[in-house]
Amino acid sequence: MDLKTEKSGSTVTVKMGGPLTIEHAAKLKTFMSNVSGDAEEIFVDLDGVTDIDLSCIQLLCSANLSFDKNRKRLIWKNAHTNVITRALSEAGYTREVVCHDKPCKNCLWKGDER
Amino acid sequence: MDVHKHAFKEETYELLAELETSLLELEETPDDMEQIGRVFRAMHTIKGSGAMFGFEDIADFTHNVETVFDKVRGGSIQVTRELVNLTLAARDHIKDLLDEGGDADEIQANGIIAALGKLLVQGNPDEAVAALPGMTHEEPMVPGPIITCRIRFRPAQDIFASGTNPLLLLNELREFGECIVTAHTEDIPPLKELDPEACYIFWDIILSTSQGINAIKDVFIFVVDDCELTMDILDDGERDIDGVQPDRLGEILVKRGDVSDKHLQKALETQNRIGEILIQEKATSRASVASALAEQEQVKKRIAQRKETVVSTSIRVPADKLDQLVDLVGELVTVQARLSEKAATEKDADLVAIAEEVEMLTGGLRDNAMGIRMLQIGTTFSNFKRLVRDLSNELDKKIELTTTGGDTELDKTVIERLKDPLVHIIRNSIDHGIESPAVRKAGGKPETGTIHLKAEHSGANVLIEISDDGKGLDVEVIRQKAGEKGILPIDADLSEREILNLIFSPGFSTATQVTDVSGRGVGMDVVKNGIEALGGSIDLESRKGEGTTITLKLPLTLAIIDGLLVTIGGDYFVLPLASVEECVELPHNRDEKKKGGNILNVRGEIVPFIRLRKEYAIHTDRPELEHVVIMEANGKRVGFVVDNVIGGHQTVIKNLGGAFKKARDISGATILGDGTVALIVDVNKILDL
Amino acid sequence: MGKTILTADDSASMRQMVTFTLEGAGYEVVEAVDGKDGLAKISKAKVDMIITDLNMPKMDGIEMIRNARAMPQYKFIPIILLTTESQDGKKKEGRAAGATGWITKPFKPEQLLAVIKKVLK
Repeated sequence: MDLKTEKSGSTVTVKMGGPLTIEHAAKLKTFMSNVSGDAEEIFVDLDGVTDIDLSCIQLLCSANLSFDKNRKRLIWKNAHTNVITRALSEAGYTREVVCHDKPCKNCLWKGDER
Repeated sequence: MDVHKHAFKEETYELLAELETSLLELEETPDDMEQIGRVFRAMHTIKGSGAMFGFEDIADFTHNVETVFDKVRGGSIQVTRELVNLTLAARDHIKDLLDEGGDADEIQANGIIAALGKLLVQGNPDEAVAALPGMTHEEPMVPGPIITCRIRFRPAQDIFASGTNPLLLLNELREFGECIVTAHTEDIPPLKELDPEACYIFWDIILSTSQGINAIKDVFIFVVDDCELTMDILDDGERDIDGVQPDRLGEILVKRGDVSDKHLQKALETQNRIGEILIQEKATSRASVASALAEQEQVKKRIAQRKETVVSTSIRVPADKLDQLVDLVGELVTVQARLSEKAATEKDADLVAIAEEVEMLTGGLRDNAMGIRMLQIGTTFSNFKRLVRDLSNELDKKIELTTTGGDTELDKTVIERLKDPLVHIIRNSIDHGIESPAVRKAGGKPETGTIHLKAEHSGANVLIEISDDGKGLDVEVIRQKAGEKGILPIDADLSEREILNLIFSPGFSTATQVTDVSGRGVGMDVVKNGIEALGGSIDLESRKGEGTTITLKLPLTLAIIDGLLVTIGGDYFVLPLASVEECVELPHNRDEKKKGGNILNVRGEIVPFIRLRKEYAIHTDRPELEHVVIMEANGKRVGFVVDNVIGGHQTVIKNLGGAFKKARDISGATILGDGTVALIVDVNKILDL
Repeated sequence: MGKTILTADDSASMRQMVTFTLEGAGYEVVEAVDGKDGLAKISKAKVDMIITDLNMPKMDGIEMIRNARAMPQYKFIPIILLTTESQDGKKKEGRAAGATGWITKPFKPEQLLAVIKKVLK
């Protein structure tokens, strides 16, 4: 798993690559917990992700929820690659069902629209 | 596999050699745990591998020794000289089994097993029986019916730590059949509280599969002890499906325990989209509702598919083969009639008995052959659901189609030819019958109109009723229209029913505007002709403001009818028995040139009559005594004057062929027992002429 | 990239059969003769899955699973235990030690592959 961060102004861009799998889940959690700092907008680019398993799917979901709560904007980019789409469909995420009762503004399952 | 067998043999010889050494050492030092373990492992390996590589006899036998040494290992059986002797004997027996062409002694083997069993009983009497089971072998898989079940799978939070990937289990289920997986994500906490190596997601799965419930359980075999797993069969694929309806959304949620009954009742009171309300009320999660909807959809689909399969379990036979069969049966009926006739004239008791038997068998064969051609009308009925739905949408009307008697059977030709008239009648009901929701509401009717299709048996006929609760027909309007179009004189004295039936007259159409739906230049007269061509009749009843009912009376089959055989001047004719009411003698010496000369008084009722002799231009002398066959046609009673009534005759209808297309008052012909041809009178056509 | 599977079994014929089956299905196989040998082999090079016999000299299957799970790189990989029918209680013990699942001997090659499919992506 590689995670690259670029910061410019109040915007942080994260590029995720490699396998997002359980072996890396703890590291990913720490990373996502600290990535925003004082930034208000966080772009997460999933283009380089080669594999994503259930642990990391729910982790991204959890991150989204946390950012929403802290009134930060999390924006997914390239959330519709074959890898991501396939993993989400295998995990039983259907488009009609969003994460929580009050869906996150930028729900991962709804894709990378702004 | 042979290479593995060979490897197994070599390995086992080695193990057996080691075994001998270990056993001998064990005799010296009975408490040597290492040697005990070695013996156990050797036996264990021989058993396990033996079964793997096709040496079941070795595996079964070794299993007994292994069981004993497991107890020795556990300390419940002591190593004795007797045990060592037995085990050495067992080792030799295994070697005999392994040697190709070796003479393994089965009696000796059984002795060893019995002796080992005794040791076990001494060691632990309770377990002895359970400890020596035969090797169980797999049962062959038999594909069962397709079941649909609902699975709630909530893995233990630490499932990842056992190396389990739940997604693979879900994928395994997907391979079983149609599978709808809905993830529940509502338990995922925010990052701060999240254990990244725990599993928070759980699933609702709706699965339709022929694999059987045990195969589904096997998917979860490794995790079943530490996960929450519930399985409910929604459709076992066997239960009678008629009338099975999928549960309502609210019911599904309550059954799953996702919503409490109290919440449901409250939400139902608001009469809104129940799922949305329950979510808003936080009575359940979005995923639960989505999954419940998926369940509903799937069960609906399965029911529909099953209905299809029920139909398709039959054999498909080309229709012309069936027609041929019926033709042949028809010929047979004719020949049988000749036989019966001959038997009757010969007055030979034996011949009569044979003829009667043939008659019975022929009757059975005929009914059977006709039965094969019979189809349920239900399929046709359900085709109309779509028609009603589409048309009512187009016209902004709310209409529900209900049906009863869909299992009523009719000859396949009748069903095929019935479709167009039915479409026309239903279109008419939707277009002119059922009012718009606003009009209905103002008139105190439910906004949704109903069209009801009903089929039922009535003797040799099937009655099909098409009724709507629309605005009905206005007798005055019809009378006026008919007058304008010159169909009847303005002041004609007709009963209400007769006026209503005028809409079947050619050139009549009550709609002032031609609409897309029913106005295709085809009037109800075409419907009437279509039904009559089938040997049926049509009748209409209507009450202004309350609705219209059209009843079609159809013969069960077109190929054979029950007829009344009559003669006119030496020629034979057949009248359809179904419409015959009675036969009376025609009083002679009547002056038919007088007014009312062709009117008959039958027990106080006036019945007009027609002379078939005149109709068919038969110029022989009238007999002294003539007969009138009173028939019901087009809702009226009409008499047909014939020379003589012979009696009932089962008539196999033969088409006359193209050359006689213009003979409109004859619907076909039949061949009598002696080979004479009798013409079948088309009663309705004669009245129209 | 092919996945690597360690098979630990003291029976040479069993190892041969497992290896034959797995290699036929496109996996790479590392063989070990007992638990101790297995642990040594997986410490040297990472494997994606472990299939181990239960009864082995030196270190049995359960002990080996316990040790493997303690290594960070093997915390989450699938581990399958080979047992026989008389060892039903061992399934639970194995599961508690961290086994993902088990296969009951005797089994056919296709059963082995089916179980692998169930646990290894």
